[in-house]
Amino acid sequence: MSSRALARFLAHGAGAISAVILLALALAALSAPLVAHAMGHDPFTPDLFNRLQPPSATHPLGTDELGRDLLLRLLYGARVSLTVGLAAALASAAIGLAIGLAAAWFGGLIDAVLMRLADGLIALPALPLLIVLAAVDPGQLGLPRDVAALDLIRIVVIIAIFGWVKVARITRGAALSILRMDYARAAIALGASTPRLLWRHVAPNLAAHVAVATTLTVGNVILVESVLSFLGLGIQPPTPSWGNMLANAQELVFAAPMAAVWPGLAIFITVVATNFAGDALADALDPRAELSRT
Amino acid sequence: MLSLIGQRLLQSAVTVAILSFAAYALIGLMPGDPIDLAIAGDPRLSAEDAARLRALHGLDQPLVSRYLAWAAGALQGQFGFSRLFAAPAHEVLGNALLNSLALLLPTTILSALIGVTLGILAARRPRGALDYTVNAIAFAGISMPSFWLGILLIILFAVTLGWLPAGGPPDQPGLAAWLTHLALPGLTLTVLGLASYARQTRAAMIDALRNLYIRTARAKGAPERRVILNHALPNASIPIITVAGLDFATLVSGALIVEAVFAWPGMGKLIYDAILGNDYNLALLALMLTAIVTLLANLLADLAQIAIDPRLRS
Amino acid sequence: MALRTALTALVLLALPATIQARDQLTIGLTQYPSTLHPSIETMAAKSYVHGFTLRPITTYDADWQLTCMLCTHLPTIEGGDAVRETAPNGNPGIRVTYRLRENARWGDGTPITADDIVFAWEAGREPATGMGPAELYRSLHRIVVVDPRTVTLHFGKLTFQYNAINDLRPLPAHLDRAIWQEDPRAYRTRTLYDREPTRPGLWSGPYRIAALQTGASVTLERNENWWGDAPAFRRIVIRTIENTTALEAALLAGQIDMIAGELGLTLDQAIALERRAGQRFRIHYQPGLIYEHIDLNLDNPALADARVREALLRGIDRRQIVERLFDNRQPVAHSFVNPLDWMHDDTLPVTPFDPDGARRLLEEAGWRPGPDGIRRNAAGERLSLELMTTAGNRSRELVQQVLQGMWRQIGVDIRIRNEPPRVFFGETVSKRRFQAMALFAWISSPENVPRTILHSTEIPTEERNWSGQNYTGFRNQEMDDLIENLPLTLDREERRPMWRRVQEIYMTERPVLPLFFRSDAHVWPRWLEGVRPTGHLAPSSMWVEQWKVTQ
Repeated sequence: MSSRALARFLAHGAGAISAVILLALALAALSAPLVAHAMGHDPFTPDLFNRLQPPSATHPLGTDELGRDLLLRLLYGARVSLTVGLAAALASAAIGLAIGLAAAWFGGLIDAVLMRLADGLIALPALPLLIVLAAVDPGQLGLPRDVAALDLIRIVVIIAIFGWVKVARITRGAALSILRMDYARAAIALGASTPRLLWRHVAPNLAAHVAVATTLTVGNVILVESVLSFLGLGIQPPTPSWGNMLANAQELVFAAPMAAVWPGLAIFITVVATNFAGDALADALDPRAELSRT
Repeated sequence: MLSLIGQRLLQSAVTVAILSFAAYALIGLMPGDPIDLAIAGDPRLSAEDAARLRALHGLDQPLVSRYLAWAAGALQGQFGFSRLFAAPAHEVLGNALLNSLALLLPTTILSALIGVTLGILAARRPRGALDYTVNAIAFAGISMPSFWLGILLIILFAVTLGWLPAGGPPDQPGLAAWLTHLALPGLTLTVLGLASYARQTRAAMIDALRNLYIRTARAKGAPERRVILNHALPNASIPIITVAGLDFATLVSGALIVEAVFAWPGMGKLIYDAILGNDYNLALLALMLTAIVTLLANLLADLAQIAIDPRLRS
Repeated sequence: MALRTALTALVLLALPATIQARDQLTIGLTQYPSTLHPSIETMAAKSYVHGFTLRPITTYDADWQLTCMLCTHLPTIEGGDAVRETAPNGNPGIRVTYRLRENARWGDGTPITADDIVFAWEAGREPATGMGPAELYRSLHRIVVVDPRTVTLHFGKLTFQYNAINDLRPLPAHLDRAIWQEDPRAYRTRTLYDREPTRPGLWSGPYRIAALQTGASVTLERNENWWGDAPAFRRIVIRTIENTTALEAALLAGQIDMIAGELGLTLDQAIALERRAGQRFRIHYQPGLIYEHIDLNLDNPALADARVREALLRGIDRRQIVERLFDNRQPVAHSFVNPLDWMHDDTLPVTPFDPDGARRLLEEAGWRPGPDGIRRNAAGERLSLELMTTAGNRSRELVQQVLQGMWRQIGVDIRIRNEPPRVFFGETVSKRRFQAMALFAWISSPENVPRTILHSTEIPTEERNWSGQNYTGFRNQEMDDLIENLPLTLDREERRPMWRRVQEIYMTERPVLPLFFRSDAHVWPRWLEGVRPTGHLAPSSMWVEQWKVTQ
């Protein structure tokens, strides 16, 4: 990002605040073990005598259905949820951008094949693939039996496989219209090289669309993980994620509604922050932004 | 234009064919077939019973030959029997499809209309009060898992206030009964669906409004309404149409989670059960339908984009 | 104002379902019966619906005693209507004569006769029909029709349950026989039970199926030709709501009157519901034959050592789990024999919660604490075991995490790896692919001989098509002998010491860690009385004529 773009990004008030919030969330997630140490609780060990406690000095947000500290679970959950959300959204955006650009640029057969592949993927059900992947025994593949990481990778891979389609279609649509614009035609006529043309003219104009689609995806992914937990295909216990905290709380919604409110709130804040940051990024990257700011 | 459509239809047919095999193979690759499950669940099943049942359901044949047999039948319009429901697959599917369409068609249209309107309103004054309100609504929609929103609405409108039924299709026919039963799942889907339209429209409109020709139009004294609807919106509509195309494709694939929460017997649940139950005939029929509608919806979206932006016609 | 009118209209629309005379009962269930044929495939929702609509010849009742439903009395050896004989294959066999009730008839008035039993048997023994377990049809080698109401069944094997024919469901020969004869292979998809389920002649219970809404509800109405006591409700609607939270909401919203415990709320949901809405509903916790336990893979080198297995059992406080998580609503299990079953022996010593003893045993077995608190053997391997269960079953996942914490205290590391049920049961457990521990449940019938789970020939292998449920790989000659001799011992008192020995071996060898017997939570409106859950496979709906409305 150029310094001018950075300045534009910072000028976007909500965007700057959002970036700070996201950074704070990331820091909080990273510091989870320190907080756990300071508070003296273990977020993984059940304590059956302290189930579903209300907030108190020892447990600022209360405890969950197994007597574990909710605040700590939330912080540890942030590690999983933010990682999954960012990794899957960035992976889908990168794949989608590349495929969308390729389809728009080359056209013809390549365009047809790529876009029909995209159509096919939307129509292909994710469920059997998830179950096939859920049955993969890491031990038999010679991988470490570190389960939490494996779940994480499985979910990111699945979401990326299906998630790039939207970005690719948006990119292709926008790129096609840009390539038909006079300035792009002029650049082609002047003999600009392909990478240069794509990088200098097409990519900046795509930034707004892709940034919005990608930031929408972050929230989506965190929710998809929650739905996967709802279906029993998510992150395995005892590792917390916002998604499985929310899904587990749904059975006890009448008895302990607060157990769901906290992860729900965390997801909400993250979604709002990523989307505002996305908007700011779109503004910052848009070459015409200066024009309109009067 | 016509040759383009013809070409696309041909490509789509090839895609559907490849997809049917991919789906068949994926279902077949899932570990644990229904006979395995029956053996695990029923101590009275002996080894011979297992072999007999496997042969009876054709599961002793290799996957490829089973697929070819299915494809040959499907090409002649024979989709076979559903293993789970012991009835012709198309009959089982018909019911669920009607239920899904009754729920999804109005909500998809509503969420698109409301979402696009909100997006346009927000884009007129970015970072104005209205913009923040629209964003807030959209963010609530994006960050709320469908099962949660559904349950909250049930608790509010069905349990606490007692105004609307908690779920399920109505017992008696009649528009009023349908409307009351559709209200809560419909509201859930609309709120969740409009977020994406609002956000995408807002971004596209802000982008379009920055173009020089908008300044030109304004400078020439065109009324703001005209500038937005006639100049900016057509240019902004390409990503919106893309999203709509993807969205309408889900009409026939159902909404699994919302169906589960509202006990609505639609396509989502049907496809889920058919896949988990290795009900090849039913699952494949449903998936082929989904695939065809997806491809057609995307074709329509592309055609609409070309119609709006003539430069895409090359 | 317009809004108000609209709301009033909505309120009015929503009301009619709730204010109605108590001649209709709406029951919530978490499963939909996708097919309705009595003998093809078993499914809990189907057997619940059949409880209202079909009567078997014999069944176990709520006191776990075998009783007659379609027959006039249970045939016995003592009574002379069951006679030992030698089967054609030379094995000891038995012939049992049943007499059907004089007034028993199908919903269209056709009497239920020997012909219906013969048809069910003919269809069942024909492999092409595709009925599930063929064991019954293999051992029942001949049927002699004495008169239209009397049949003699000749069995090729002799067991103490010789007069229990719960699975031999009469089928309406006057309706379905022609369809079956035309093409047995297509019978499964052409039976009237699934093509025209509202035909009254298919049903023989107090109710018949009046309407079906696929995936959503089954509507039952009184069977005009029912020969027994008249049931209380004119109509019963069984609604399927798979999500238990939504099921609870529907109950609170008054859309359903009761939740069937056979397929209903989870135990902790019911406990929480009772705390909040105990005045509106009566909640009955029925302990039963659902046995939650952990199968240990005895091929795992660590688990092959009996001391390690004992230490694992001593290391967990099942009492506390039941107390804290399940409000003491379900009993701790010490073997697969339920305390409610007559052969349960409560004089046998049980394994207590004893973490110190557990640590001692692990030391003896050569597992010493390592730097991270986890024990290691002489070779330096960590005592790390994989505990698997069905993903998405919240209740099991809670128990699993508590166990993980308890075992950590004695220096055992537990890795949780759960799988979707179809993978878990269809592949991992049934093909013995679990590394160490598999947590799941059995449901059985009263006095069930555990042949398939404990006999050494029932260890699943590729050669036997992975049939058999001895997933632990347990081999014990004495147990094999007992399991073979138990069914042949017709005298109950003679079986008692044998059952004691079976439990003793099970509780000292510990191929399985018993956890508890699951309870079903039945939720009834205060005005409903007379529902008696059984705790075994026979659903409470079989005795619907005893359900009564009180004020």
